Order: sequence, then C-alpha cells, then structure tokens
Amino acid sequence: MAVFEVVAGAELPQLKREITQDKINRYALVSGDGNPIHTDPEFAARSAFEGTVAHGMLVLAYLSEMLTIAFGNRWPQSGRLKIRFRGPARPGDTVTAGGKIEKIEGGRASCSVQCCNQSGEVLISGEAEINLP
Amino acid sequence: MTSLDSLPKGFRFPPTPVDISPDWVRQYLEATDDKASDSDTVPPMALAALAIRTLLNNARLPEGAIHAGQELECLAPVQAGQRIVVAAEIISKGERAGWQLLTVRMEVADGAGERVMTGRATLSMPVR
Repeated sequence: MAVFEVVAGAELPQLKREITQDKINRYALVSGDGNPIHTDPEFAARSAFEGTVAHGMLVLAYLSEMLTIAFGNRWPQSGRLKIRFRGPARPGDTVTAGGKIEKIEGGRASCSVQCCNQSGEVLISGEAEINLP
Repeated sequence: MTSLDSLPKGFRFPPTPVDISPDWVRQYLEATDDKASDSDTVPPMALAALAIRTLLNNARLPEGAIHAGQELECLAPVQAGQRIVVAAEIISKGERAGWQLLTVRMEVADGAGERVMTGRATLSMPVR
C-alpha cells in the first residue's frame, strides 16, 4: 500500500543509504560479481575510477527499495523500470534514491526516478511505471 | 571461459534453472540493507542480479566493462524457495567512440515456464 498521496506531481519518499567497502564486499559475495574494480583497492586504484566503486546493481537495489516503500507489492508485481547508470558510487558516499510521479494514465503511475550522491551528482536516472489499484 | 564481447549478435545462452533459496534471499536483503521488502518475496533487483550472475556463468566480462543501463519489467512476484529459469540473448552489438555497446535481453520464467520478469542489460566495454 502506498504511504503517500499518489497524484501527479507527488515526490516519492526518499531513501538514504551509505556506501561502505564492507557493503560492497558483501554484495559481491551474494551477487557473485567479484570484479576487482569493486573489491580490490589496489587494482581499482590503477583503473580509470582510481578506487573501488559500488556495483551499479547495489545502488539500483536502493532505488528498488524506495519504490517498494512508495508502492508496496505493486512494484515487484507489476513494475517497469528503465534506467541509465551515469556515475559511480564510492565508499563513503551517501546515496539518496528518490523520484516524482510525472503522470497517472491508464491505471499506471509514470515516475521519474534517480539516485544521487551527497554532492548532488546523478548516479542513476530513469523512469519507472507501476500499476495502480 | 568465452569473453562476452567475442560472442555474436543473436547468440543465445542456454536456459538455466536456478533455485532461489530463502537463505540466499535473506543474505541479499542484508547485503542491500533492504528493510522494506519481506523475506518471502524476491526483490526485483535480486532477480535481475541472479539473471546477470547466470549469464556471467557462461561468459566472462572483459576487463573495463561497465554496466551502462538496465531495463526490466516485473510480470509476477517470485517467492523465496521457488525455481526460476533464466534465458538470455545478445540482441545488439555496436561500436561508438572506441567503446563496444552490447545489449543482452534476459527472460526469467518460473518452474512452470510462465515469464515472471523480462529485462535488458546494456554493457559497454573498450574495443580490443
């Protein structure tokens, strides 16, 4: 069940999560993605990122949790998502996931969604659609 | 293992069954700090992560590869303990400014063959 008023123009409830190397390592284990760009500080220091970065799918999981808070089980039951990864999240970053209902049409809410870091840099942006009751 | 960028457009990965254990779902929820999802329903991004992991069991990512974009559509909820079958196909492959762009379509079905999620992952990697 939605916990805010589902109307066009409404802001989705924001979700904040801190990125730590420990969280990245745990996600690497559970996802099976052990790419050293995420888990090996020495390797990552020599890469274009100049340090480890979080898995894009970990940051996207925060956006997904935000949609679950906003729309409940309608998100995993009927959601659509289309996003681009625009920048890396690094250990020490605070990620804020949020969005806005852009329109309600045909029984679906169309939302703009994004994840930003503490400097306001966009890490993920895109669109989500969820069926409404 | 074959590198993903060496596979041609149209390449199909064999459908692969995956049993989603309740313990794995619990570990996923802990790893992602997810306090909103209940542990009975598999979160959409957990399904997508499993689909990508299944794909990468068949072909490795080349060094420098970046996950550039993701699309997904949830068609039905998946419960912890359920079996899914993941299938994937390389549907586009191109080059731009020294980078190879590759799009993989993924389909996730339940044990009865009903689709529960579809998606597309766009990957970019340096041209070798």
